[in-house]
Amino acid sequence: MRAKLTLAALCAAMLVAAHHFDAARERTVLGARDATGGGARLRLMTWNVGYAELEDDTRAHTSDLRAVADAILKNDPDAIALQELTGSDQLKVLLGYLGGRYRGAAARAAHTDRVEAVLVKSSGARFEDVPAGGRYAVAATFRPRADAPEVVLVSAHADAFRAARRREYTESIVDWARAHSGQTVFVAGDFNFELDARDESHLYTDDLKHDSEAYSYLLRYFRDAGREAGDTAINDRRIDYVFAPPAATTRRAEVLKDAPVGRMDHMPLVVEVGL
Amino acid sequence: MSDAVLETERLTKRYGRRVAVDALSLAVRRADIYGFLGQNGAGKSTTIRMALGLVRPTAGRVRLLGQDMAKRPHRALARTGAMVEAPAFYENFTGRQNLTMLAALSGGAPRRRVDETLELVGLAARADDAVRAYSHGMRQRLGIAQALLPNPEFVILDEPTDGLDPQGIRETRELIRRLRDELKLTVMLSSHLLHEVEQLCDRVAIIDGGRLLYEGGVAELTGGGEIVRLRVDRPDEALRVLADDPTLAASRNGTQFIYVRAGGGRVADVNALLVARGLRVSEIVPHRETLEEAFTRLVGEARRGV
Amino acid sequence: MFTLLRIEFTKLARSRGFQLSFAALAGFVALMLWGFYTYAERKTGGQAAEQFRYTYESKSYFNGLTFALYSLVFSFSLLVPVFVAATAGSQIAGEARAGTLRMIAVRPVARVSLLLSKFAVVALHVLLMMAFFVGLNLLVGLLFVGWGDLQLYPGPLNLVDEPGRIARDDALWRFACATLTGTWAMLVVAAIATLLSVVCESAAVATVATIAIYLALYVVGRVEFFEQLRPYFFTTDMDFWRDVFKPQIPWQSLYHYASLCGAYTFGALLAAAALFDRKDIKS
Ligand SMILES: Nc1ncnc2c1ncn2[C@@H]1O[C@H](COP(=O)(O)OP(=O)(O)O)[C@@H](O)[C@H]1O
Ligand SMILES: [Mg+2]
Repeated sequence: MRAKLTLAALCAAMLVAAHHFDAARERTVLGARDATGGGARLRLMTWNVGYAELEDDTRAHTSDLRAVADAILKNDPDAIALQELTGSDQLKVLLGYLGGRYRGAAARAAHTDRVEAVLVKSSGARFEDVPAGGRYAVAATFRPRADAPEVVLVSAHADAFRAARRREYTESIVDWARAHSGQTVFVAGDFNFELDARDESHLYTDDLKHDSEAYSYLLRYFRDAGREAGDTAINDRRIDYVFAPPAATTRRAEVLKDAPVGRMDHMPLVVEVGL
Repeated sequence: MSDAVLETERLTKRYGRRVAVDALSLAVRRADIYGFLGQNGAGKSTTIRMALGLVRPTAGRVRLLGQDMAKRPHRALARTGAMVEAPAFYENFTGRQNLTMLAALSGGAPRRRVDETLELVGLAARADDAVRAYSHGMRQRLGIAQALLPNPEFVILDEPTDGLDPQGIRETRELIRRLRDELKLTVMLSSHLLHEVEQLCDRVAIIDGGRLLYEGGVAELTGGGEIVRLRVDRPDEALRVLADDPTLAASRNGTQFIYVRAGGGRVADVNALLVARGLRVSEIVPHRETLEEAFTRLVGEARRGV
Repeated sequence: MFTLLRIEFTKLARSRGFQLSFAALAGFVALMLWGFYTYAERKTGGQAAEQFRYTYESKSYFNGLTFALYSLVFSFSLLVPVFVAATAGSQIAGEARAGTLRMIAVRPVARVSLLLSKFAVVALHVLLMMAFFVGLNLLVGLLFVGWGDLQLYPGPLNLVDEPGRIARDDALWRFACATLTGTWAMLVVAAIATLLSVVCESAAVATVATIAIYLALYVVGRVEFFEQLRPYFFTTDMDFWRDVFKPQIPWQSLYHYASLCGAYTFGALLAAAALFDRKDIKS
């Protein structure tokens, strides 16, 4: 009888302990590192405005650009990284809808039918192509405010289908950023990483290893500022990122669920950081 | 405290619908060799399991060495040695290791005592072989040894001679007698082979279908000279005559003889009665039933509902 | 109690299942090693032996500690439980079937003590298995690849969602911790198997039933469908053991799930003790 009472007491003690040590409490620690004010702020947006697979044309549709412009104006970011525009003519239309408030550049096209673009609110921005994996991403160097230091935003779009390509592309961009180590570089865009490997049987697939290592490589030099914001694309995928320099603190990270129009398969990610 | 070593009181066990033991009240007295007899399936092992606390009674009580088994079993078990049904051992251990391990659970036994016990049951030579290699007879002996090892005052042996050859049966019988005479133990042994225990037991209980048919001395059961065998010229008529007197129990048992239970020196009355009716009695012989015959008679009567 | 423990341990140590469990774990390590070699060979075009170390070391992705971690994580969920269930499942049912249980139960020993000492011995077996397995993996890792810092990546092991690194000495300490947390988690399986061992008539049934329950919950817990149910499976709670390999050990959550596992363990033991105390020993 005494033994059974002891067992019952132990069982009860364990339940009390389980209640006392609240697992959920720890999770909140993983959130934004800094919630205090101070310092300059920078609001960035990234959005793959292309269409979902199986559509006739999976690139951006010009008819949607009005809505894209509305979303941009409503959220008022300092800079925007866009992906899957058909080319600079579409960019021109969009800049027109934005009423001259933004300036921008599309990446140089190379073997592909779609390009990245970067838009900046301030005047005096410099744009340049970023060679990556046989293609080009595009970067803007600008001052968010006249008295703020210069920052660089790279708009990137990694291959949707081949992990090895994604990895090569990502590594080129990271290496480009490292070469500009004197500047504050942000990298934003659609990387198509497959990282959520709950199914252990994927151990030996190349995809996982490439994606995991490409992502790891990014995180050696950047922070994944949009981590807490949730999925950015259909099928519960989080594949659009804003990578910030380690010193930047995330103030806000939000996926705009209502922004997409037409058959877009991505939602814009807005990240605000303190510099 | 009574002098009963084991006492059961309306002990009952049901397995589903089947009644294995039915309101059984027994008393094993100190220093008895108590035979617990019944055919296969009569409920002997079930009773023994309840006596030792292996199985919970559906109803009734057990007192073992003065302790209520439902409340405080351990003190009684510490003074009891038991072998329930065919003994089982750890096959990959030697006989000696098995004994030592089992004895340790009853408080341990010094090596000398293990040796003595092995000697007593005649296993000394094979004590260090793995039990795996033991014959049925050797296992049975080892089973008795493990019951004796903790130095109990009461030993319960369930079918100790089951499956043994005649030599083994004789030796086991001898051993049990020594346990009582030399070691002053009380022994309860169950068996379905009645002739084996006939000369051994002081008192017996006979059960059938879980019910007690008889408990008492062997001599009282088998007649002790109170039954006589008669040779009569017209046995059928003689039976009718004897049936008129309700105090006499007469039967023919399918023979040409008539058997009459005539206690209290009433043999002469029986003779006179028959002669008075003109029957010619040519032979009167005192008859003693074997235990087996008594058993058959009891079971037969019980099943006919007598 | 000490006598009981000693006897139960002697019996266990002599049993075939005990020896087999260690042999099988060693075999599994060999299999893992072979798997890694063939993987490396495919990747390096047939010069595995020379390039094996190079391939991984040069990228400092893989070393002996990584090997040990992979081997441990994969075997823990599916291999170790089998042996735990087999040992624990045979404790009562096996002896009942063999008939030796009645030989013990007529001795002046409390049944609950008997059950608890059997469980304690099973727990010791689990601890020995974990220690042996962790030790062997580390040793093989050291001999074939060499130790280094433990690099963690998001992905297969589902341990981190940001890459991390644990310094070598710290990592070794983590492996020691995993031996303990792994044992503690496995006690849930041991206790359930003990409970079923009391209930079932044969060791095989108790063992298979335990493994079936464990695997069903384990598999179902990994199917997306049942996400809502997942928190109610003990297999999910058992996962806490590998939190010690996170760069920042989440102590709160580790204690939480460890306590839950403890509750399962003691709860199952309590049920087993209550049932065993009233059980008819009919064999
Ligand atoms: N575990 C059990 N389940 C159901 N019935 C049982 C069980 N054990 C014994 N019985 C029944 O109880 C009766 C008595 O059995 P038992 O005590 O073994 O007899 P004996 O030992 O006299 O041969 C038998 O009819 C048997 O079928
Ligand atoms: Mg029997």
